[in-house]
Formats: sequence, structure tokens, C-alpha cells
Amino acid sequence: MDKTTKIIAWVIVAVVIIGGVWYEISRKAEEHTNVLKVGVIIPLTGPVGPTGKDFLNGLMLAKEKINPSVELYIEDSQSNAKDGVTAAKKILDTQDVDMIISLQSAVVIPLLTLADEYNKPLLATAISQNEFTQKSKNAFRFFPSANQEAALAADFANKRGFKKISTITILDEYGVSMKEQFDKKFEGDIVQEENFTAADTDLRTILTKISNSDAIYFIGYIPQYISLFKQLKELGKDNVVISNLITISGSVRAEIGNLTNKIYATVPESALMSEKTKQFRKDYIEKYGEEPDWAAPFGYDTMFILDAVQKNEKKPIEALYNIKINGLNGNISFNGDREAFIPLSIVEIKNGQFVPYQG
Amino acid sequence: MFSAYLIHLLILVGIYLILAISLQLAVGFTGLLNLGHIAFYAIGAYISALLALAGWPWWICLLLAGTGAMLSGFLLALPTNKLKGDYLALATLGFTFVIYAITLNWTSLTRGPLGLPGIPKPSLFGFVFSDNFAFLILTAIITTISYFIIKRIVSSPFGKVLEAIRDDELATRVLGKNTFKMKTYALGISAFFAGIAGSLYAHYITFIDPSSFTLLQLIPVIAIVIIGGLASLRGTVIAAIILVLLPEPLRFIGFPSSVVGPARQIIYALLLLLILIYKPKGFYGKVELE
Repeated sequence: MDKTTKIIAWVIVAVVIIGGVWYEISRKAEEHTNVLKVGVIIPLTGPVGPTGKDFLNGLMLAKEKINPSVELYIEDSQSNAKDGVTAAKKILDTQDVDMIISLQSAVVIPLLTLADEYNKPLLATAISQNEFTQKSKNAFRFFPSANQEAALAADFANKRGFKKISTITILDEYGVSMKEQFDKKFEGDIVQEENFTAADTDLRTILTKISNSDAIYFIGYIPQYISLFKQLKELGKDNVVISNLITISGSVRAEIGNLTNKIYATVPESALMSEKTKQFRKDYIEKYGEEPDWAAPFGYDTMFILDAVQKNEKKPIEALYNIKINGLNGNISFNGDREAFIPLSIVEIKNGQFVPYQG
Repeated sequence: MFSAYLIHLLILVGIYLILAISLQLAVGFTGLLNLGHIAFYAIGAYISALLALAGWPWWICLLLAGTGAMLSGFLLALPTNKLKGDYLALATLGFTFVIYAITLNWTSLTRGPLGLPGIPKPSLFGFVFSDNFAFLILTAIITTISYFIIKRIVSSPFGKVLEAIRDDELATRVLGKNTFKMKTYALGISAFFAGIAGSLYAHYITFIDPSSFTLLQLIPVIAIVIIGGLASLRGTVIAAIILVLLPEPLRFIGFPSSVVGPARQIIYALLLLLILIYKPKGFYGKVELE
């Protein structure tokens, strides 16, 4: 072994030792506490990183506010299954956490196998496929299912008397689940179906092709929503757009500006700007210097759920069935199918502001 | 206390090792800058998962995963045989995108973005490798067999011809060797082991979707090959262990929640940079990548 190889080997050994010692010190300090330990496996880097960061910001804001005796062990899933599972393994084996919270379906689904293996409840956000909670008794969903969200959009389109709709949806679990449900419930004709991937932000080709339809049903993520509204303006297209909760993101609203298009969205109560939501938004901007996106209210409410679980004397999995909180997303409780019913409404967006749709 | 976590990491080391030594065969020993390796990994994972979900025995799924990937390797070799260096890299990169698009869009077969959940754990003669330690033993056996097969190949006269092709293809052809055939075999064998690694991954994680097989997943495998040193199996083993395990101690450093994700990745990248600054040819590199 030559000199440089030795240096490299020593650097690696040093990192391992320092990491190990650091861990031991922090672990010893925590050994005698009797609090709810929660593994937070969320994407902080990678394509879904901004959403994970927004969720975490909401979570930490609530933690600061209510100061619950809950310990969070935050790990980055790097937006992929392999690293998500590795992070969860580390937390489950070294911290003996009581439950896991996670978001993003590509990570949540493999984590469910681990949750079952360790018999810990998994509270998931940003997973839409209907059958998720049917897969395991440990699967809890704090997010509208595709059935709920897309069905409301289809019902709205039916009531408005739209006969022809074009769908533009992202080609992933979220987009596919939403589109499937919309197709099932919409009574008119889907005249055009277009897809894009998470890496696509130039939607001009797709938008140019759209014609002869009463409205566009659009499902994507924040970058695509920003592109959609920007490019509709550029192309001078005045299509009616039906979208979803991602439209409430601060960065998307800023782009909508003074678009003349009619824009409708299926959103949770957190978008309706109640006094509570206004205060949340104010606190968020004060702390982070930017507008919250759609995931932050879910992160915020998640901390209240954890606080309620901690205060409940039962085991976390039983406590989850019994909690009732009044959060940004309305009155939250889990039903027998482990679904938190999140009341959704249709809003109309005018000058970047959300106005309840009066029908 | 650490056991299950360590076992998990060792399983990942095994899977990455198979992927890296098989890529080493193509890149390091034959000089084929193949960026389609992750596509072979995906093909293996999907074949194995689909067959297992259809009720086929695991060992058949494993072999067919390797065989399917190998056939794809032969197929890829046909149009790319005359390409070298950057051009070959671009063509094989295109193959990765084609396979990604197929897994994403052929929804009736792959369920597209919804992925394939509930892939069963391997079972052999009635014994189910449901326990992670048993899975580690299985991975270790398959990794060891793969390592020795590839080691045997590169030490054989066939392996020497591959190295000759890498160093000077024209001269090798002048000596009467059918370089087209040799390169096709090399790519096929390399793909076979990538398919085996894909099968192991699918049965271990029990869920696959197209996002598991993007270009991003190729980067750590190429990093292992380059840091280990081209044409060095020993270096590849060391690099696989280091690159898979190195990020883990960083998980124990208590960064503030606001920077936890990026900070770890920055430190990890800096450590890799340090290695390459001090060892530009990797740990045991014999040749330089052209």
C-alpha cells in the first residue's frame, strides 16, 4: 500500500470513527428519555427534494410552535427507493423509533415492507394510489387519495357541463392514478391525452396541440405548473384549466399573476385562507423568507398528529385511530381504513388569489 | 443493534459489486465505454419481478433475468460495434433512455410509473430467504461466484484478447482476431451479470418502478469502476465497499435539519474528489480511460 492509499484509508477511518463517536455521544444523551421517537424519511435532495424540504419546513415550524416531546430522526431518501430503505433501516435499527413518516410513493411503497417487518406504523403523505392503505395495517395516509381528488375534479367538470376535455398529466404514480380516476368519473369525452415526465418543463409543444376542448385537466409538480401558466400566457391560449392542490404553492401562485384564463383547482381547506392558514403563512414567511408550497401545511399538521399520538396513552398504532386534531387541513382523524379524510373544495383563482368557487 | 442495518448495507455492497465488476469487464478490460449498463440492470430486475409475480420459481427468474439482459447486450452490440469512445457512450446512453421509456410506457406489462409492488423474496428448495441475513448469504454466494467467473474470464486467453482490443483494436484485428465477436461476447457477459444484480435488487427491495433505473443510478456504479481503477477487479471490490459504506458514517453526524440532505452529499462528493486528486487512476488502475 503506497503513501496516498494510506492517507485515503486513514481519512475514511477518521470519518467512520468521528461519525461513530458523535453518534454514541448523541445516543447516550437520549437513552433515558421517554418520548415518541419518529423516523422522518423524506426526499431532501433529488427531483422531489424541494417538496420534501417544504414538508420539513412545515414540520419544524409546528415543532417550534407547540414544542412537543417528540424526537425526530430526519433522513434524506434522496428521492429514490434504495436510499430511502437504507435510511429507514438505519433509523429503525439504531434509534428504535416508534413510527415512521414519509412522502413520495416510490419511497413509501418499499418502506411499507419495512414497516411491516418492524411492526411500526407508517404515516405517508404524497401518495395517491387508492389501494395504498389496503396493503397493510401499518399504512396510514395523510393525503387525499386519487379517488377523492380526481373524482371531485371530474364531478366539477360534469356540473359545469364540459363535454370535451384534454388531459395533460405527469407520467408517474401520482399523474397516472389521478388520470385513471378522472377518466372513470368524467362523463364527457377525453379528446386528447398528453403526458410529460418530471424532467420536462417545456410544455409548449403539448399546449400548441391542444384544441377543440372545453378545458384542460392538468396534473404535474411545481416546475410544470409554473411552466404551464407561463407558457399559456406566452402562447396566448385562454383554455380553462382544472388543476389540483399543487396550485396552492406560493411559487405557482406567483406565476399565475394576472392570467385571464379561468383556473379551478381541487384544494384542501389549508388553501382557503382561514385565519389559521393566514397565520401559518405569515409565520412561515417570517421564518423561512419565502411563501410555503403545498407540502408545508401537511408537514405542519403532521407535527400536530405526532403531538396527539405522544399525548395518547395507547401505542402509536392504536393512538392514530383515536386522534382528532383541528389542523390547517381541517378536522383530521383516521378512519378504520387508516385514511385521514381531508375535506377538499373547488377554488377559482383570480389575480393569484384563491376564491371559493360559488357554482 | 447495528446488525440489520449492517446486513442491509452489505447486501447493497454485494449488488453494487456485481454491477461494478460486470461494468469493469466492458469498460476496464474491453475499453467499451458502456453507459447502457443500468438498462441491463433494469431488464434483469423487470424480467425477474414479472416472472416471480407470475409464480415462476426464483432460480429460473434469476437465470432468465441474466439471460434476457445478455440477449439485450448482444442486441446492443450489433449496431454499436463500430463505435468507440464518446460515440459508443452516446449510443449506449440512448439505449438506457429507450429501456427507461419502455418501462415507463408499456403499462400493460410493467404497470408504468405505478411500479411492481409485492415482488416475492427468493426461495430455493422450499427455503424462503425472507430473513435479511439469509438474503445476505445468498447475495454473498452469488457475488462471489460472479467475481470468480469474471476473474477467470479476464485471466483467460479470451480476456487477454479483450485487453488487446482495448489497447489497439486494429492491431488485434490484423492478428486475425474477430474483434466484433469478442466485443459482442464481452458486452453480453457484462449484461448477464448486470441482469443478475437487477434480479437480486428487485427481490430484495420487493418494489421496482422506472425511477429506480435512471441515469442517476448509473453514476455510483461508474464511480466505483473509476475509483477502483480501470481493469482492476481488486480495486473495484475495494471501491464498491468504500463507496457504498462511506456515506453511512455521515448519517450519524448531527447536521441541522435544514441542511442535513445536501450537507452529507457535499461531504461525500468532497471525499470522492479527494480520492481522485490523490489517486487519479483510481486505487489500482492499470489503464486510463480514453
